[in-house]
Amino acid sequence: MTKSLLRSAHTSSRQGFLSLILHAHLPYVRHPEHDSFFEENWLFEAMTECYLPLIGVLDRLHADNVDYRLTLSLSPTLISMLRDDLLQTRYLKYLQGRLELAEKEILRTRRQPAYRKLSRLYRRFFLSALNTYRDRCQGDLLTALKKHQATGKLELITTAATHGFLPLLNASETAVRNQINIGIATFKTHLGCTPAGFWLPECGYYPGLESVLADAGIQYFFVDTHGVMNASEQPRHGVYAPIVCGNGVAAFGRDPESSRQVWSAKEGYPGDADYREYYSDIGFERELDYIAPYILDGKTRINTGIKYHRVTGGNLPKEIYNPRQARAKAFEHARDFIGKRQRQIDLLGAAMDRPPIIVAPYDAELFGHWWFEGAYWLECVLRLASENTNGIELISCGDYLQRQPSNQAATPAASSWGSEGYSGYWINEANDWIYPLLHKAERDMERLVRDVQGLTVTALQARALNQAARSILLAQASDWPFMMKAGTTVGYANKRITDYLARFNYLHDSFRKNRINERYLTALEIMDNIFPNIDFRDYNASGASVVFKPHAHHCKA
Amino acid sequence: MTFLHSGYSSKINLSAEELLAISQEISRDFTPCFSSRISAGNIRLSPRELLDISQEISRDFAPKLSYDAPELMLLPVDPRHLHAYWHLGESQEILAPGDDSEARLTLRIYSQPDEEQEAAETASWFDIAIDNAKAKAGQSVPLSETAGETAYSAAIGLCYPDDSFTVLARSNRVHAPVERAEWSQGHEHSVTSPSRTASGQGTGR
Repeated sequence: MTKSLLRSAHTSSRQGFLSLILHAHLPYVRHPEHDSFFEENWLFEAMTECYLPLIGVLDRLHADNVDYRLTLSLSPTLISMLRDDLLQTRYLKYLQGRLELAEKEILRTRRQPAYRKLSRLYRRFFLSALNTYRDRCQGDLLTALKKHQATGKLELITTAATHGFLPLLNASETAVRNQINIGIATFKTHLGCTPAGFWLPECGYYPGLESVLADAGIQYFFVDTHGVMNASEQPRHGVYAPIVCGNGVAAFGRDPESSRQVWSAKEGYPGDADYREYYSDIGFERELDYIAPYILDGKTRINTGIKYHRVTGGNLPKEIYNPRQARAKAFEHARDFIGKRQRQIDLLGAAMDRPPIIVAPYDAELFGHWWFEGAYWLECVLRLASENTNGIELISCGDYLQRQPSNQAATPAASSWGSEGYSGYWINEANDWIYPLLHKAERDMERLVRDVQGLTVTALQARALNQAARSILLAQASDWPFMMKAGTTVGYANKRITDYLARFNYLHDSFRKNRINERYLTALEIMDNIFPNIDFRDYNASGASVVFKPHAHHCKA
Repeated sequence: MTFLHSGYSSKINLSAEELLAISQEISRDFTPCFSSRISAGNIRLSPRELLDISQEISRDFAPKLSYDAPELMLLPVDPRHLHAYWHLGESQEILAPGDDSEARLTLRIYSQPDEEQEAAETASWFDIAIDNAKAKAGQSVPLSETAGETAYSAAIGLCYPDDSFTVLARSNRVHAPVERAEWSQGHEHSVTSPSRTASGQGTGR
C-alpha cells in the first residue's frame, strides 16, 4: 500500500510535498606548495562537522528503514578535493591533532566535571569522525554517498565547475557553458551518472541560461523566490509549483517561510539559547602556550572545533553547553518545522489544483558546522516527515517532475539568493576590479582555442592549453568576490584570483611564444590538479557540449 | 591472555600521561597515508620549488589590462543599477592633463524597451559625466526607473559644449533584472547570516 493511501486513511491533513536540498560547496583550497595551509582547514572542518555527520544521519535512516528523500548538491571543487590524495592524508593528520587536543582537554578539565564531560564528548566526536572516515569510508566520502543514492532516497546533483557566478560571467557565453559542462563532466566522472538537477551558484539566474542547461541535459534548477514570482508570466501557484521554461527545463522557487525559519539571524532556529555557541572556541580562549600547537603557525588563534558554551542570549555571560538539552530543542524545532509545513500545505492545497511542493534549499555547511545540532535537526525532520501522521511527503524535484509532468510555462526573472536578490554582492566597490581582468582572460582563452582549431598541437602544447583552461576556471569562482565583499579572508581571495590569472597569463604567453617550460608547466599541474580530463578544445564559442546529450543516463536508483 | 597478564615485566615505568604522549606522537607522525596518484611525469618538485615557481609567475605575469582597441562593457547588477567598465587605449591620451579642450568624457546610456530596436541613437538616453577616468575605469550606473523588459547599451565618448558627442567605444547590450512584484524578503541568506560556507572564518595566509 502506498504511503499516500495510508495517509488518506489515517489523517485528514491535505497532502503536499516537501523537497529538502542541501548545497555543499567549498572553494578549491589545496596547497601542495606548503607543508600545511590554513585555508585547507575549511575543508577539514566541514568534513568533520558537516559531511561525516550527514553520512551518519543517512546511515541511521537507512538502518531504520526510514523512507526519506533528500537532495544533495555537491560542487565539483568539493568533489575534487574529497577525492584528492594529498588532502585525504592531511585530513587524517588534522583529525589526529584534534583528538590530541581533546585528550589534552580531558586532562586539563579533570577538576571541572561539567567541562570534562564536554571534552570527553569532543574526544568521542573526533574519534567517531576518524573511524568513519578512515575505517568505514576508507577516505572516500563520495562512495559512501553513492551507496545512499543507489537506494533512491538520496538524489545527488551538482553545480558549475568552480561555482562561478554565472550572471556576471555571461559577458561570454563560452565561459558560462564551460563552467556548466565541466561541472557536469566532473560529477559524472566521480559519481557515474549525469545529474537531473543543477544548482546555479548562489541561485544566480538570467533569462537564457536555461538553454545552456538544456544542452547539458539538465531537467531542472533552482531560483530564489522572486525568480519565480517575477517570472515572465504570473505564476499561478506562486513558488509552490515549478514553472517550465520554453525549452522544457523546469525552475523551482525557494519557499521563503521554511528558509526564514532556518536562516534568519533574528528568528531562525540556530540562534536558540540552548544551542552551542559557534564563536566560543578554546582556540581563542586558552593560554597561548597551551593552544599553540593547534593554531596557525603557533601564533595566530583559530577555531579548533572545541567549544564549551551555549548561545545563552543577549549580553549575558555564556553558560556551559548542555548537549542533552540542545538535542531536545533540536527535536522540538524539527517538530515545529514539520508542523508549519503541514499548515502551509493545508492552506495552499485548498487553493491549488495539485498538491503543493515546498522547496527548502540550504547550504549544507550550516548543518553541523555553524549550527552544531543542525545534522540532528535534519535527521529529526526527515524522520518526522516520513511518518504517516501528517500529509507531508518528502520528494526530490526530479521525482516531482515525473509525477507532475504538466506545469505552467514561464521564464524566471534574473535573480540570486544573495543580498538584495541580484548580483550586487558579487560586483561592487570591493570587488569590481576583477571583472575586466576575468573577461579579458576569457577572451584570450577563446582566441587561443580558435587560433589552434584544426591545427595539430604537440602533447606539451596541449598540456599547456589544458592548464590554461584550469587557471581560468579557478579564477572564476564566486567565492573570491564574495570574500572581498564580506571582508573575510580578503587577502587570500585577492591572492587566489591574481595568482590564477597570472598562471593563465604565463601559459598564454608561453604558448604564443612557443617557449613552454615543462618544469614550470608541471609545477602548475601539480598545484592546480583539478579537472584532470579537461580538454581545451571544449572552450569554444560554437557551444558544443563536452559530452552530454539530453537523453544521457540520469542519476536514479 | 592479555598483554598485561603475559608476565612481561619492563624495567621502564611509564605514567598514564607518558603513555598518552607516546601514543599521540606515534599517531601524529605515523598516521597512515593514502597513496598518491599525482602524476608529474619525470619531473619531481619539492614544495619549496613549487612555491618558488608560483611566486615567480605571480610576480612576472601579474594580471594587467592591455587592449588593442577601446572597450566598454556593461554588466547588469540589479533593477536599479548597471555596472560599466571601460578601457580607452590610446584614446586615453585625449584626456591627458593640460588638455584645454572643453570636451568632457561622458558615459551615454541608451535604454531600449523595444527588443528589436537596433539603432542605439534612436533610443532614449541619459549621460553620466566621468570626472576622473584615470582613477578608476569603471563605475556603477544608477537607473532612474525600470518598467518591464528594458535593454540597455552604452557609449563612452567626448561630449562638447555644443552637445555633439564623439564616440570612443560602444558597449554590449544587457537587460537589467526585472522588478515587477513587490518583494520584501529579508535576504538574510549569504550575507548577514554566518551560515554561508566554512570559508567565512579565519585569517588569510
